[in-house]
Amino acid sequence: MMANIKQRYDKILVGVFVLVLGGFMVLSFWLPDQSFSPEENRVLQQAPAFSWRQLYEGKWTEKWDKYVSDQFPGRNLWISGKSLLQKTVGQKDINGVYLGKNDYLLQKLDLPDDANLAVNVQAITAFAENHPNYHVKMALIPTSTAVLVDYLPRYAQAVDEVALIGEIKEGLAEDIPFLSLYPGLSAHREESIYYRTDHHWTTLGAYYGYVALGDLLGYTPHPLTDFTREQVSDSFYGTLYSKGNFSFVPPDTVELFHPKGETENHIKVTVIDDDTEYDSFYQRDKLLEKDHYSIFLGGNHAYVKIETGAGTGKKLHLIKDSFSHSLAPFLALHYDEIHLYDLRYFRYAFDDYIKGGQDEDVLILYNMASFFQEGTIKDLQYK
Amino acid sequence: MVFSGINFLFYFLPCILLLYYLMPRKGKNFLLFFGSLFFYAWGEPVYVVLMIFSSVVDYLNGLGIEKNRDKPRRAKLFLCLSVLINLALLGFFKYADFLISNINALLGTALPLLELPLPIGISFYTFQTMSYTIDVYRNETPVQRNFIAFATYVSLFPQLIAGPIVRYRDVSEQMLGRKESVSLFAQGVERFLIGLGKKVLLANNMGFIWNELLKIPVSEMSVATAWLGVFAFTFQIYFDFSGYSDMAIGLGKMFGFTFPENFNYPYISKSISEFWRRWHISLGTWFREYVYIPLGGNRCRKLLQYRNIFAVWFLTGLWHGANWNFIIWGLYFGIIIMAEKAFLQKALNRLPDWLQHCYALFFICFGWVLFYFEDGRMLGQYVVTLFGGYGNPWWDGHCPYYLTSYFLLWLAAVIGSMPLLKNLWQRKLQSVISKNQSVQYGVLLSAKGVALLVVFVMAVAFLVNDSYNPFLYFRF
Repeated sequence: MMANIKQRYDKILVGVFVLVLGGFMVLSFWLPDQSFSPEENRVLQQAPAFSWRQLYEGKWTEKWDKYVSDQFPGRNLWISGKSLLQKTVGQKDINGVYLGKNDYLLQKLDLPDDANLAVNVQAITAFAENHPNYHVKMALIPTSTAVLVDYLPRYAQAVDEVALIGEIKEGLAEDIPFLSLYPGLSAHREESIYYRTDHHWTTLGAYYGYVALGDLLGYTPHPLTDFTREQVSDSFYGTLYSKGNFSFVPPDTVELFHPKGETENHIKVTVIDDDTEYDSFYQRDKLLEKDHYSIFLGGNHAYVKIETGAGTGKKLHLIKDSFSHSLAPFLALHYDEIHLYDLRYFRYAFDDYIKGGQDEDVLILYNMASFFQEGTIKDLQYK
Repeated sequence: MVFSGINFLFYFLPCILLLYYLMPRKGKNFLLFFGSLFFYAWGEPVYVVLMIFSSVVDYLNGLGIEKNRDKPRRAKLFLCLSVLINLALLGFFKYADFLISNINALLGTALPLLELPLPIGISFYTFQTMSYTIDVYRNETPVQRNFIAFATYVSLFPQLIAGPIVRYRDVSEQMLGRKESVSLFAQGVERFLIGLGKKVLLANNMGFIWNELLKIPVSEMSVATAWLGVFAFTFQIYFDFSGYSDMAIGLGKMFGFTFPENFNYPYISKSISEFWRRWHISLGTWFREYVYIPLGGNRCRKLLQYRNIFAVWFLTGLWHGANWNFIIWGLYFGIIIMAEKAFLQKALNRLPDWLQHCYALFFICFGWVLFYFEDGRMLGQYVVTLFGGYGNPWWDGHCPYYLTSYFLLWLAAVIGSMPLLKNLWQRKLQSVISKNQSVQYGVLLSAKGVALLVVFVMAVAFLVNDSYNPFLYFRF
């Protein structure tokens, strides 16, 4: 009797094991391959074409390994299941993201490499020295992790961005006007100034950034009541969500702020990369894609030129990351032209683009995570 | 290929199992041999030649020894040839650069390094093939005339990459006369899944904690955090390596093999001598059989005994990696074991059990620090931090964070390092069987099956998520 039970157990165990192994293999061959993962915002590996040369170099097997894990049946479900399990057993950060209070996902940044930081700071100083005719200014935006410290999990030891901003300011040449946006944002940390599922600031956060930048850039910001707010999305799952498919976190909403009593008719946005023109800051068709933040200026480009009807006679050159995309519509109220440069893609010398002088501001504006992770800021010394 | 990868689990393994059981008896070794070559050549297509070379050489040397039984000098020649070729292979591919850089440092020369990638598993298969020729020479195992059977033994994919180091004599009969069965296969599945869980769920996550803690500059690390890191690595290396051995033993069973055990709860040891009887047993056995005892073991003068211990531990350290820290690590244990032999064990016996455990664990954990840091300066800094030498605080926020965030992981690792669950399970099973309670028996087995399946599903979820999946013992 007992022996029978053991035999049956053995058979079932072996059967289930073999069935699971073989089943997934058959399933993965049977299911069509996906070409792109919107959740991860990357192209998935396709079945590699065989060549002896690639096999010899070990590249073919490497691609095959990536192929089978990228195309594993139910990949996203497995990942969100894993995240849910980790959250359930009390893990406080998953795949580099803190599971914060109030459903906030916050970046868990590594301590920056001091050398890289110093190189970036020196490159900016050199850039200002190389172009004495430019009015170079600099501002840094703290990440949500630094501003929303109250939402961090208990005992979390996040990078001290405030101290780092202080160090950067110290390292910079004294004649470069510098502003930390930390105080301006921190004062409003009770409001929704950062997305819960994305690393960017919300449009409201960008508005407070715009207010804080007024001193540095020399304009008087418009009060919040001068804008009407339009909600364009309530289903935004951002980059931080994608890091672990955190299915237990609700989506974000995306708002646009429109100046009251004005229309956008006289706005002209030119994406120089592919020479396309738009008559709005907002590309609403991006809402059909996964990254709703791309509604602002259509996402990342090397060089974007904004022409406005502000009539102030002033120009702004922004050397920036994507935080500036939602900031630009506010700044447009005070400049005739805004030029946005993304150093990751912009490969030219600035002298062909910037004349310099009293009516042109050059603002270097980065959020802290990209400032100490980005490898292209150092190129400024040669531009 | 690694066991804990999607490609192995869901492509290679089902295919080779299917082919193996479809294949008639005569072709089974042939299939395993070619399957193993495929497994090895995956990502390392060139070095497969090296393994085939090693197999051919030792196959021929084995025959040479057998043919010259009545001419001891000639037989010995074949043995020496085998040992020399194996050691030369190992020396060239694993230790050449270490030797060159030491010569450069010593003589101020600038000889260029070879910078050859280490052939995977070379430390394991050269030791295995040497065990064969030595045992044939000593007449402890019959010679293998079937080349495929011998080559299958050398290249057998379950134990090819990270052991256990299966001596030929332990499997000589199984090479041609093994018998697969459902019950053995089921044991294999159990063992494999337990190993997979140890590796993917425990070792990888412990490794993650250790890597996170290493990002903290030593100057800002508290003493408690430094120790927490050491504990994380201590668990990582145990579950990584013993998990791999479990998977190897389990896979072996699926193909009808029974491999020797490699670990026996090493962290419950009460002395360092005991630890090394429980840790990487197959390596310890190898060095005892083929180095320590031939040198005279402990049946010689006291001074020679110490020389023998020194030699074995120097070599044990060196085997783990071509770097001074591994040699220091080996000698560190050698010295402690000599001390235990000489006087320490007697003193320890008078202490309460828990103090003996503390003693052993302290030296084991500290040993892992020597093992981990290949860079002497970083090792020095970490050791100073461990003992508060920089005036660092005793406690900081990292400690409670990693303790609370991974509370269940720490708990699972502690329980998993002890035979607690295994003993409970066996006692329960025994009592149910002896009372002939068939319903309870069925329930118990079902519970075990479900638990294993849950471990499997969780491990797959982590594997799908993780590109972070390094095998620590790859380097050796």
